[in-house]
This record gives sequence, structure tokens and C-alpha cells, in this order.
Amino acid sequence: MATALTSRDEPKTAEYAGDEVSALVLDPGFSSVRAGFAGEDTPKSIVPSFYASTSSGRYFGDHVIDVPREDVEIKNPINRDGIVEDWDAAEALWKHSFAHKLTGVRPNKALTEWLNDPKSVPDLQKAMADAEDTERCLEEHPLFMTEPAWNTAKNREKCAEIALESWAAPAFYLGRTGVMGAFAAGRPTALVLDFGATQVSVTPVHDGMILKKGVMRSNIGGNYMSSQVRNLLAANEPDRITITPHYLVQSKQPVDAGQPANFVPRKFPEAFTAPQPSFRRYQEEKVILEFKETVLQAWTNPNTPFRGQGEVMAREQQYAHPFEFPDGYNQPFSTEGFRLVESMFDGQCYYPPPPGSEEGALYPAPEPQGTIPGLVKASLSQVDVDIRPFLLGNVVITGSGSLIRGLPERIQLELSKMYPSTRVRIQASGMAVERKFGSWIGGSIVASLGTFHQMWISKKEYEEHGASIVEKRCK
Amino acid sequence: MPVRANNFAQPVSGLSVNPECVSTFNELKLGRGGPKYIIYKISDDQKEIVVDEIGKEPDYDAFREKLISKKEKSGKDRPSYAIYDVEFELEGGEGKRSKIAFITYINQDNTGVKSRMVYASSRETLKNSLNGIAMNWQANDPGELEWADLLKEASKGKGTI
Repeated sequence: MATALTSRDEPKTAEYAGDEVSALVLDPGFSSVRAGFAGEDTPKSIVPSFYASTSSGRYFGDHVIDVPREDVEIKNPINRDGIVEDWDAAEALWKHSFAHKLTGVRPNKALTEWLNDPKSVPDLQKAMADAEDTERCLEEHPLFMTEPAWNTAKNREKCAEIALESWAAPAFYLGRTGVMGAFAAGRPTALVLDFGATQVSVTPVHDGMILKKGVMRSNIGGNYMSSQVRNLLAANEPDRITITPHYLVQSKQPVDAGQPANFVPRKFPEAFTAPQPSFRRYQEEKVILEFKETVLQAWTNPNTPFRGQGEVMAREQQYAHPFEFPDGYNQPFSTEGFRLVESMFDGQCYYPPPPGSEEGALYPAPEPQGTIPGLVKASLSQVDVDIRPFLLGNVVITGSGSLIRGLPERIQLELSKMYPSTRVRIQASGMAVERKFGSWIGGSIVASLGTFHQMWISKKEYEEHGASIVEKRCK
Repeated sequence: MPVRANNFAQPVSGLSVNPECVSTFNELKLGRGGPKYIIYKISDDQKEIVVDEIGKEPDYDAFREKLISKKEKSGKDRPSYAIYDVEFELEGGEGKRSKIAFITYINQDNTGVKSRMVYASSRETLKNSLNGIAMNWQANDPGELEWADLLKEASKGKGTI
């Protein structure tokens, strides 16, 4: 180890590749991995974080993982907190996200040159060297990665290790999603509400720095909402609605609303080992996503709360969104769409799970402090009282989950009611891309600046100072 | 020697501050016929923060008008940083006071995401190189640049946001 490094030490000019290289920006989430070159407007490669696992290996990518293979299992390297659990799979998945569409796959000499010709097998040492070379897929690209504010120090170091050691990237940087969301909205000071798949999080950012004590999160994100949809469908009257995913439907006949589905199920050969339950669940999730996009709507009436009066009002006004399931079953949904969203604000609107289901254990009703108003309140209580008005005046809403109709308006109403003496201002980009890929876009912009080279952790610095440099440089 | 970006904020852009930014600011601090306000921008090559223009007249409305009408080449609004010397009377005739305000103006609506990101992530770099800022003001639309609001913030005796 060399001398102690302070955060003010900058890399020597010769240690990073300079302006002309194109950095790669990688924004890995629970639902998808976004990858692309810095300087571009949107990520060119978007790959589901779910992957298929069979006895013959792992499969990555949309369509590829949708194939009902024998005994296939669908997995995700990221856990329900949004933190990587299976590093082996995460490394392979992330690599896939850029190698296949962006940087190109490095030829595996073992496969191309000598695998099928035993006579040409080189000595073991050379074979090892070749194998290692195949792994060094980022030799020409500095890597900018994003991470949630609650990422652990150990995980941050692991990311650096993968980038700089396994992939041999010349330089590396980790940016926090909350800060990037604030900056992309033009705000060095902001309260960032990020609606992700696993979490809804509230991150206070002041003068470009995260106030760590004020970071609050709750698992009422997109996955929770999907679980609520399952509970809703299971409790449907008169009959529970079963989701038959597309892959199980051979053909269907149109039926009237509320009538039983008339479809021919897909037949698999007799010897076929059916996919594991996780495969079906993943396919059901895709239908649920469509359902959420169609039906969900936030209750934005300022004078009438939803629970009780509002629900009656919604029913009377006959807001209705028809939805057709893959097997042809269809019915309109009206107050349900409101109530589902309402359960993020008010735990009493929670749809309880049907008896015997494990949804209740996975996604219980949110406690008052785990609802959106609860999270904001808890977050603000942890920050200096003088800063609170500035945070409430700059509430930035981001994340794919925030694209629910009426959600920003609803949050405005809710927070104005909670803090009547403070001016609450909500900023939610009108462009869906900016809300979906906010962190990636932020990373893409800073990493493409010529001056950003001062921020990178170079491979040489990493070798000199060890993994702890990540904590010092990427605050 | 340009002032190097420091690592207070994250992720900072690494932009440097042109020395003229500091010297002009020091002239303003001295008063006596110096500038009354300074508008800063990020240079076209996006390498450093430079002085865009200075004003000798303490006319807030004219200053505000300038801030909100700055344009990028693309025709979109251009964000700015600015220094404005906020003068006000103390209650009960206790005399005049002034506070040097550091203003960050990034219109949220008519700007590109790139300029929002670059201006927001570079602000600390400029702010930290100017010694003697008494208050901070972040405005994200023209409505947040009202004189009455600035005055209220300046006179309540609290420093930074």
C-alpha cells in the first residue's frame, strides 16, 4: 500500500486515457440493466435483470429468457432491497448488457481456435492466459456505474474490483442515483423521490451531497404494486381471475366482459419437463406490468379523500379501464386502479392476500412510516430544520414507477396538506425517458465531460491504494 | 492557476473556475464603483466556469431580465450562476445592510437535460472558490427570482440554504 490518499488528490495525467475515449455508463437496477456510451441521450442497451437458468447454463436478454425451456428457472442477482446478492450472476449479466450490443464480445480463443481440435491445444499456461484475456472486456472503456444511496461499502468495492480487475477497465467511478436525479432536474438541493422496482426511496440532497441520515426507503415499489394486483385479481368477485401468461395460450376466442375465457391452452410434448414456477411467475409479471400501465391512476381530488367518500364517487363517475388478459378474459376496472395506488399513501387501502398465499409475507401492508407521506416525514425529521423548506420547495420525482397517472399531482396535494405553512413544489420531468433513465442520463452527461477525467479512479490508483479508494473518491 | 474542482459534491463534473471569476467577485466585494452583479456561465467547450457579464447598475429587474433571457445556441434557455449584492434597510431605521447572494438559476422547463446536469453538478466548484458569500439562492423558474423572496431571505439573518 502506498501513502494515505485524501479525496483532494487527483489522478496523474498519464494514468487515465484522456478525453478521446468513450466511457461506458452502466445503471443496474432490479428490473433492468441500462447500459450505453457516455454522451448519448438514452441507453442503447436495456436488458432485464432477470435471467434464465437451466442445467446447461444462464441465458440473458428479453425474448431469450421468455422461451419456455425445459425445467428453466428465472432468477435475479439482485435481492429485494435492490442490493446485489449473487455476484457471479451479476457480473455475467452486466457484462452481457454491454458486450452484446455495445463493445462487442471478445473472441474466446479457447472456443474459436482449439476446442474442437485437440491436437492444437496449447500448453496450459497459454490456455489460462487466453481465458483471462477473454474476460478483459473493458480494456478500452472507463466505466461509470450507478448505485443506490444505501449500497454497502463492501458492495461498492466489489463493483470496483469487477470493473478494474476482472474487466480490466482503465478507470472507474460510482455515482449515486439520488444525486443524479437531483442534478438532472437542475437542482443541487432537492428531495428526491425515486420510484423503483424494489423500493420507493426518499433522498435529501443538499448542495450536491446526500444527507445520509435522511435517506428513507420502503418496499412499496413496482414489485409491491404487482403483488397488490395479484391480491386484487385473486379477490375478484364472483370468480377469482387467474393470469394465464401468453406462453400457455395457443389461441383464444373473444368473449364478452366478465365472461369465462374461451381459449385453447398450449400443449407441450409429453416428455417435456415444465418450466419451474419462477418462470411462470415472471411471465405473469409481464402481464401485470401491462395491467398496471392500463389501470393504475392516482386519486387527485383535493377535497375528498379516497377512502370512503372518494371510492363511492369514483364508482359513480364510472371511471373505467377495460383490460384483456392473454387468455381473452376481460373486464373493466375502475375504483381498483385508484385503490391500488392509494395503498402507497394509506395502508388501510391495502388489498389483503387470499388465504394460503405467500404474498402477504413478501409484501405486507405498509406501516404508516412506510407510506409515501410517512417516508417524507421521516426523512425531513432527520435533516436540519432550516433546510426543510428548501427541500420541500424542490421535490424531484423520478423512476419508472412514478409514471402512474396523476402521481405527481397527488404527492403535491399530500405534502401541501402535511406542511401547510411551507411552499411545496414538485418537479417531475414531462419526458418519460428522463424519468425512466434519469440516473443513466445523468451519468452519461457527466462521464462525457472532458473535465471528468479528474474524477475517475484509474486502474493504477486502484492498484496503489486498494479498494478503499472507492469510498474516498466516490462520495 | 485555475482553481481545481473539489470533491464536496458528487458526482462533480471536474470543471475548473477561470481566475477572472474570483477577481471580479473580489472587486464586487470591495464596492466603490465596482460591479453590482456578476453573471457566470460555463464556457462553450465545457471546460471551465467563466464570467459572462457584469453590471454596474444595481437595478434588480434589469439583472433578473438578463438572467431569464440567456439562451443556448440551440435556442433553449441557458442556466447561469450569478452574484448579486442584496441591499436592504433594517427595521426601525437601524440603517442599511447588504448581503452578497450567490444565485443559481436553472430553469426547469425550457432547458436541456444536459445543461441542467452540468450546471447543477458544477455549482459547488464555483461557490467554494468565492469567499464571502452570505446567502445562497437556487431558482428553477423565473417565478423563483422575485425580489421580495430574495429580500426576505437576506433580511432574516440566516446565511446559506
